[in-house]
Amino acid sequence: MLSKYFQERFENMPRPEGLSAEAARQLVIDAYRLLISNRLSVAGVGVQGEGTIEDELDTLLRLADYLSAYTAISANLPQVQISPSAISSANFVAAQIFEFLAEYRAVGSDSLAEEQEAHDTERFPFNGFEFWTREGYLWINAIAHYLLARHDGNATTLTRRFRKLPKSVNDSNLSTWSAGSDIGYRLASTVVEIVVSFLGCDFLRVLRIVEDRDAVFGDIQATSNDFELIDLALISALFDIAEACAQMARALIILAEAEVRITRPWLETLRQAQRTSDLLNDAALKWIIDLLRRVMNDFVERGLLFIEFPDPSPTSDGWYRYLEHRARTHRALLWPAHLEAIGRGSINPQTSMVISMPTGSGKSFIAEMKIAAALQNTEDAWVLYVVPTNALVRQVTRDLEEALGPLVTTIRGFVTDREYTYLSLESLSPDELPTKPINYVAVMTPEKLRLAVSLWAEAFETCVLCVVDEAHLIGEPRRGSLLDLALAQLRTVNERVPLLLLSAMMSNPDDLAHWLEGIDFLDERRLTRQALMLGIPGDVQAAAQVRGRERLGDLLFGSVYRSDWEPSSGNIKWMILENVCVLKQEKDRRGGWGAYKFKPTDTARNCTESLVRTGLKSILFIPNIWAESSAKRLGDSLNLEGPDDPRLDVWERVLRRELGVDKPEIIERLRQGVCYHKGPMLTQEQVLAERYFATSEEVRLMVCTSTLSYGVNLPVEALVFAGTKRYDPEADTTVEITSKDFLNIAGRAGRPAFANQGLVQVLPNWLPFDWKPLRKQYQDLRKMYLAPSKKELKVTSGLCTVLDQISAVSDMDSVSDEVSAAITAWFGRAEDESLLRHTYAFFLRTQQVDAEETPDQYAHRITSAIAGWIRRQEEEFPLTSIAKEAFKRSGLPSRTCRHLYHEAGRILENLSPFKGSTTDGEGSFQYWLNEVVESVQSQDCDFFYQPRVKVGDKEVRENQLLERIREYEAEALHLWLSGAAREDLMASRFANGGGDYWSRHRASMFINRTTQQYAFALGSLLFFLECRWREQDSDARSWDRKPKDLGLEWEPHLAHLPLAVKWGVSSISALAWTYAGVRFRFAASALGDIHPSDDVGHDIEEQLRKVRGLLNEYRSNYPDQPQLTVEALRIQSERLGLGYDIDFLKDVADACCGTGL
Amino acid sequence: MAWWKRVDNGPTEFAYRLFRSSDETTIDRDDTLLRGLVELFVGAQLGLWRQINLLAQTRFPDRPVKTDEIQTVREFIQNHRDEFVRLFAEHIPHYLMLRCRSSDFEPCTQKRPHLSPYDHYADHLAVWKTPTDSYQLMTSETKASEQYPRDLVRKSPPDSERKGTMFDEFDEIEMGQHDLALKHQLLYDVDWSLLISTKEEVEKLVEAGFWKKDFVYHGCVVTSESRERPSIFKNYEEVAAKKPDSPERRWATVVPISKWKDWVDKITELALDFLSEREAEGHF
Repeated sequence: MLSKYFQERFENMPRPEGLSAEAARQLVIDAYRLLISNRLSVAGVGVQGEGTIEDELDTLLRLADYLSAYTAISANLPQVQISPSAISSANFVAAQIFEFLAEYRAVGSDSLAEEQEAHDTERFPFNGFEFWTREGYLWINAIAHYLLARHDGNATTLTRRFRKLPKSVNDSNLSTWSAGSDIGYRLASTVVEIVVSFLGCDFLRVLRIVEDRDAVFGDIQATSNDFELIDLALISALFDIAEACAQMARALIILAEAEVRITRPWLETLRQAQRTSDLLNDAALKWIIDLLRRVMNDFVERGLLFIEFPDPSPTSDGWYRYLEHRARTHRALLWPAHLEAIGRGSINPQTSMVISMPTGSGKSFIAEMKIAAALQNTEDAWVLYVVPTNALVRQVTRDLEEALGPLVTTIRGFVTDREYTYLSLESLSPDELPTKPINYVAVMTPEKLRLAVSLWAEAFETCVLCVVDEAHLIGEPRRGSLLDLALAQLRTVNERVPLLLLSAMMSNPDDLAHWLEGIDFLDERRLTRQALMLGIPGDVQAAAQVRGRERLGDLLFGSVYRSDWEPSSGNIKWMILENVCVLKQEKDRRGGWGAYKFKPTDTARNCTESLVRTGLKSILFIPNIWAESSAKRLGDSLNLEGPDDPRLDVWERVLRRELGVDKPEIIERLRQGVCYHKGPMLTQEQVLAERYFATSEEVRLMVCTSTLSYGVNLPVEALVFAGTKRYDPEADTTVEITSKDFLNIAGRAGRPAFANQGLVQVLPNWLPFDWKPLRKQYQDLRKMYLAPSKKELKVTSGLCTVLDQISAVSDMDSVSDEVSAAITAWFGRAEDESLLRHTYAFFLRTQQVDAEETPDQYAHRITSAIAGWIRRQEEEFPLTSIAKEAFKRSGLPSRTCRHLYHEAGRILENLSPFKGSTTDGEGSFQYWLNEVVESVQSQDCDFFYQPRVKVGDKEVRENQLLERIREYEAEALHLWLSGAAREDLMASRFANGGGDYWSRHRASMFINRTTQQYAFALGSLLFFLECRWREQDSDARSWDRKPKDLGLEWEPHLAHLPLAVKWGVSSISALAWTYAGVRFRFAASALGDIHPSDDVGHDIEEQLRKVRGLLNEYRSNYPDQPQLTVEALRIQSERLGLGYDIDFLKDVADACCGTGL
Repeated sequence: MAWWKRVDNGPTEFAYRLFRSSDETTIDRDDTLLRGLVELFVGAQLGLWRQINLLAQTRFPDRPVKTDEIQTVREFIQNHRDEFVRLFAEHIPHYLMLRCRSSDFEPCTQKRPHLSPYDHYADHLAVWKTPTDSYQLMTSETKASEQYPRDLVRKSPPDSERKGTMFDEFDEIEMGQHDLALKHQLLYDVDWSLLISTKEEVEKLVEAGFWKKDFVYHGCVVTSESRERPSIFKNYEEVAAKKPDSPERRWATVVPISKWKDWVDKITELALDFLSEREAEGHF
């Protein structure tokens, strides 16, 4: 799939006689492979490659010349009809070759760049000769041709790279100015900067620098006597070139100026510049003017403020404000996929749409425009945005905040409990409603959605759009069924709500679109190159003995890009990395030394090290527990200079003192320019790793496990797989990676606007030195990467299997949790078929042509099976109507509901609360809850239906061990309930007993998992306590009464906090803090407190003390307004010269007290 | 600004002959021709400077009009006699070509004269479409000096000890160092709409010119050498026409000038006279 688009490009492009598409493609691929080996050898890594680049340089250059001449000539001959796709392909291929040639010349000069940057930072990075030098020619051509091929992201990447390179003037005997004049060079370098910024699509910057140009130009005007005539002519031409860029930039990002797209004043300006360059006879100027003219003509067709949206298009002020805002924030131009999607009606607020586009090709922008269009008409409307993980919730929230700024009141990321209050705002009485219209986007995971839509169905009536990111997850067995059901519930509540499903890997968007009666949009353009390289260990005998029984040998990398690729065939060119492959001899059963074995993890570490040394930002993907230690080893051996950021000190304090991390490894690694990301680490550590890796230039490497498979948008140039397995936390073991996972992870390498080339290196798993298993691995990988079948990427519903089980099994107690949880959705509406009919699973069923029964029969059969089951349950355990509603709302497996319901009743009997007033005094839930929390903490409350004792996928067979684990678990549970933090648990017998089988790592995993489950169960228990409490006075406290009326402001916190209790909030004490409203404890100490071990100067100590004083003041002033507190913090930190930005303060507040800002 | 349209149809046959072969008749013996060429060149220079002057004055209104074009050109001639003549000599082939339009050759475009000898692009360029539908590219190079007799116009192998015996520009062209400049000039100086009207023609042109690079580069040199040794041309063809790129990549022509120093004096004088005349007339 990934290579298909490129293949098409090579087939479409105009080709000189005798050059086949395949040959051209291979030429480009080989060139890039050799570029990598060149870079490696410059970085000091021993590398051998087949073929030399010099043989191909001439052909490449000629091909690039050919293509660019083709496009240039045909663009200037309007009477000649040439297909746009041929031109676009030609531009694209030419851009790639120019990029390669430019990079090839730049190899090895990076180190010079640093020196240059060091002493010359305030000036522009250009010397003013760029239009005339060969480097400038290659870079600017590459950038402009990418733009002409409408690959804006690649152009941006190249612009950034071009800026960083040292500019040499040696290669040309340049004397652009006949009178040597500094001011002339200053003007020229300003103009080059303007043109490069313009081509890099940074239009705001263009407008900023134009002021510089005007200043320089003013100086020249004042001293024009000193200039020769010919210099003045050159100055005029340069001025005009910059002016044209500025004119267009202004029109592109300022709404009021966008009208000039009709008159196109920049063309006249360019014409003027061209006339001057004709006089001067300066071919370089003519070249740049011609390029700019073509680029500008293209921009006119796809400027965000220029295009005509199809009817019904939004027309409100808000919409235009949004467009202008986006035009200013790096989205002034639409990409081809956007244009196409808009043409198909993607922004029509009433239509559903299913979009399948590869990673990084602009899906989220389509979603964002649709959200803007949906929100612009109604003031009181909100949009639901469903993403698979909490990390993504955070990211999407941030992205949307930035993107939808002028349009939306707020973006609510549902990562903590408090957000639910927002949804239930509907239940507020009119005079309590906020004065400003509530117009927001709620971002949440499917689990939260399922809960929210069960709890506050009425809130979803005003939802105007539901966006589902990574929608292919609907096909997963576990979470897919949940998502399908949640969406169906949403659609039963609000039938008109349009859905927008986004996915990077889906071969059948048409099916889903059919289900939603919407439009499907399948786009397979991947905007950046990817190179997949597969490693094979070289000869063992030739490998050098290092220590003990370990040898260090060569590693052969072959590029995988052809579907008929075989490791033994002759058409592979190998790249050989010297001394990176680790081989180790191990003892066999009889105690003798066996054969050498290949060590993927160690080898991958070596490969990554070499890649990072070449300057590529890399991710090492490790399927086992060695992520952290690998990061440490790599950090030590790479010895990079990490970010010099004082905020890391603050984070260290936060982690060490507030989140109880004794030794914040992650901070140490970050200081080395390395980070890691794994499941068993605190959320805040994960966030820290993600954020620093994404934003800091100095952090060059991340070592991660499969926790990063979904979503998070990280800039990566190279990715190394240590074997093709991944860790499956459900099964607690490694499993062979699937095609989808592989594509998803590999897709991260080479993000548009960050890197134009993604390099994916895959090392085999354990490997006997035999061609047969090797070939098998290649075949699998090739299949996975090059040609994942349509069938594999076809998205079905995870609910299908659940429904099958429902219809097949009579004894519902024996079915799985998923089935049981699905059934609770039908509580209270057992005879209603509408929920079932809204599911994708049902839709798929109706599409089956050979089905034995009609869809109606099927629907009837399933619903009656469910209804029958619910009826049987009720006969056995009679439920009140309030309890049924609670079952329906809880989203828990029905038997867990039942258990908790009874357990709640039992506790209630012991407490015998008062009836009477519902809002205050002894009849209030609040009063009653205080009693309950105490009682839960003091006794061994059995609120688990089935305490989970399972270590990984391995069933604990030995009874003795099982007993011990149960014992430890009980002990841990007790500790936990009495408020112990995770670290205390780790110090207990629980973590330390148990021998080999029960390693500390496993204990930690187990604690994390069970802690979460305990918290979840406790929260659920509280929810059922509420249910029981309501039953006491079923009229006054029925579910129709809004929580607010019953004095239950706390309700969303406590009932659903457990969902948010992840690793970060690791103990019940955190829950208690939230409950008690202690919000700012951490924020205060993080910024203002000084630990005895902190080595800070007296002044800083004084400053921090002041901050702390102020914090205390603010904390008491605004106890329930974290937003205000953060703002106050910001002001104070600015005043004291600490200069922390708002995002950072929010993060600190979020880390410490879950403010959810 | 089609200054070159001022070229009349004059004695083209003669110029053509002179250009094609090494006739007994040479350019410096025909005073009328030489005078015509000088006037053409200086006239063109004046026209260009006038445009530039106007442009500078609109953009820089504060700049007092203290220079007129005649003065500019005159100062240049007086201060840089050799440079001026060199610049002029660059354009001799160019003008000759203008004068020898015939049915055989359809010159597509001509590059305008340099304003200054510092210009680092190819000195002159023209594209011809031959009756056989192939394209010919002609460049002229600046080598007008008595120090370089024409028999040094030959290719030496890159690693040979005799390296450097060839004119630098030719050497550089052979090494492909001027390709970028030539490509720029081809793409942006040539008005292709005169030659091309269909997609097929675009393809043919681009393939010939930019992929195979089988334009015929026709280098022109003006030297002070007067001896007639046409065989050197053949020798050059044999040597230089081979690799690096295509079999018949480049040929060179030498326009001989017998006494360079005299020539410089003569041309400067002609040019200054012409300027004085124009000044007296009060117009350009």
